[in-house]
Amino acid sequence: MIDPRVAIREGVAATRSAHMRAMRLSGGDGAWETVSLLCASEIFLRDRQMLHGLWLDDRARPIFDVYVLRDDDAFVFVGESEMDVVAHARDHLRGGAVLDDFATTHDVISLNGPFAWELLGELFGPDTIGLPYLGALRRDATWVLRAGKTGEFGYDLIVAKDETARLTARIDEVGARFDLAWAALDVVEQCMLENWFFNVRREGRASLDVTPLELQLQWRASRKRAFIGSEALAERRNRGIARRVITLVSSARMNDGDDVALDGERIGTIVNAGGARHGSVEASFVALALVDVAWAHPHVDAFTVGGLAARSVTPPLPNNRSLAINLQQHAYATRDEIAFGPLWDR
Amino acid sequence: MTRDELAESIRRREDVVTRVRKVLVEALAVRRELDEIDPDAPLFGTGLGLDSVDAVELVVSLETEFGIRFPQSTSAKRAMRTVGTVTDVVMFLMGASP
Repeated sequence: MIDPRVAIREGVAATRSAHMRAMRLSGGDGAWETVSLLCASEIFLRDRQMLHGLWLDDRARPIFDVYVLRDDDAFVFVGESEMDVVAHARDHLRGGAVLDDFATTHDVISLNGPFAWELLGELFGPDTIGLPYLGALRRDATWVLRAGKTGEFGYDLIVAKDETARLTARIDEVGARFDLAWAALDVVEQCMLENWFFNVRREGRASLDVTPLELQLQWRASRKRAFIGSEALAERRNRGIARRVITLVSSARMNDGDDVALDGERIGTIVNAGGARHGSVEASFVALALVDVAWAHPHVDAFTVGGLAARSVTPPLPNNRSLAINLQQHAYATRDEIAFGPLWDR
Repeated sequence: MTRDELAESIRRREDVVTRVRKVLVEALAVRRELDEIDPDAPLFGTGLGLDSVDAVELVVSLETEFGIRFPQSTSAKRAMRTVGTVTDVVMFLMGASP
């Protein structure tokens, strides 16, 4: 079977995304009030359109890395969290809003890879191929969301539990023509790291006491309205941040908690250490570090991690093949005819 | 490189990042304060929300602001992914080390 890392970067991989939480919020004005309170992002959504949002706690720490889908007058949330975000949402319902937890009724299956769109078309029909990024559609009991955090074409399928076995079998059957592999969460997380997608379980974990300011996620937090965490965020902004997250590469494995040093002085800590990038590549290991803002910049080659050389880089790292895909011309079966550049060139 | 030289190199890059931010706000009408635009913020789709029409405007505006010329190449999409990748290309085209 093909290496799941290769499948994500060069073909298509499926993932049983049991780590994802999904729920639906309805109830007219109460739903709007609730989503405005919970979600830090600006909310301008047409029907069947999504945004990549963020929920914060009252200390402005991220708690839910979430896609928010407008479904008529309701909202569907699907995303990743370390805490019970359903209970959190229920604690903050406003004005008659109703929350339906999908945990017992739906599963989430994800497809990622430069040819994930083609597999999707085989599964759900050719009209799904042109689904735009952050668009959504419904096929019978399944929501198809165009999202993804690997830098490749990505889709999250919210499927009714009594349909999961049938869809999984169909993915296996059709996926065989794409050399499909099933990728575990750690493989997806490595791709997220390489492509500069936020990971709420790693660099976003509560113990690090980081906010969208340190995480470079300000684009997901409004300055124009109040929401849970907005006061704490404004206070930290006014005070100024001391640390910011940057990407490091090294020829040696880096580990969570390792010191990052400059001229022998400790200036930061590794907060998300990945494995090696697949294939033969210089400075193969990737990590995120939380470092003093004065040195939180790319192209600094004087860092050391655990005493070994490391340098900061500008993410995302891969030359993702999805960027070179033409949906009208390309196909997995004839992929060797496509002039892809090298996946890694730095 | 000494620490002072490194600090000077970072300052030069920060100057370029600030000018890229100004282009985004003033020419592309990104509705954000300058300090709201993080160095590695994505530009398109999600992130700052630019679209394919904005991409052309961004290139033209950067060429005007920095007196550079972007080459037509297949790597253009990659160069336009974040504020940081744009800064890298601008500095390369200006003949400065990024």
